[in-house]
Amino acid sequence: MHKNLYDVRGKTTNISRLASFDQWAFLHMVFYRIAIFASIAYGILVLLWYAVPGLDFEVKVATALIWILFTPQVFAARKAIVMTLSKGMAFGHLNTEFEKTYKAKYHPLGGALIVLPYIATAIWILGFFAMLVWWSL
Amino acid sequence: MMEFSRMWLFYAAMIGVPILMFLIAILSYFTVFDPLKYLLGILLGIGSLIYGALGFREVFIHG
Repeated sequence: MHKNLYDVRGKTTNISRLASFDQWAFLHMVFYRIAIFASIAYGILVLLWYAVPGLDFEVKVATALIWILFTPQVFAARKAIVMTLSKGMAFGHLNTEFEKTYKAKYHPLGGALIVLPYIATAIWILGFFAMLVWWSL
Repeated sequence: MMEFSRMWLFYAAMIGVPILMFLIAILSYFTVFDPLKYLLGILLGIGSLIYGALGFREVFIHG
């Protein structure tokens, strides 16, 4: 399976094409693409800490940077789970008439699960400050 | 019954690394957990490499 070069939005390599109509998706995409390479470098640095003494400060700084880069992904991963668990009731862009019927028949809890990703992200952000003060391997 | 989807495995891997980071940050406050933290750090390093590899595959190879 190879990557298509064009889709309905134009050239797939044009990473700015989301910015005009979905700013959150654009932000998430930029953070994610940086995090891909940063995560590999971070993994190497963390494993290097076990072999080379005196890398505590470098690991802590790198952890802070990775923590920031991961934040949109933390939200997005929990959003995906909640969307799946609620069968689209939470975060799904469903036709309103269909949504009302579907919710009544299959998912009385409806979109209440929508709060979970926000709570998880808030805990993640609080954890950042805890990490700044406490972190050590 | 929910059908099994490989996307769940992908998101489970993606979720694991931030959870490990969060756990280590909290456990760092309690010195009694230092041996556990030492082991979790190894998982974190390996997990971060997997995270980057999976992300690279998703974005740049399969789309």
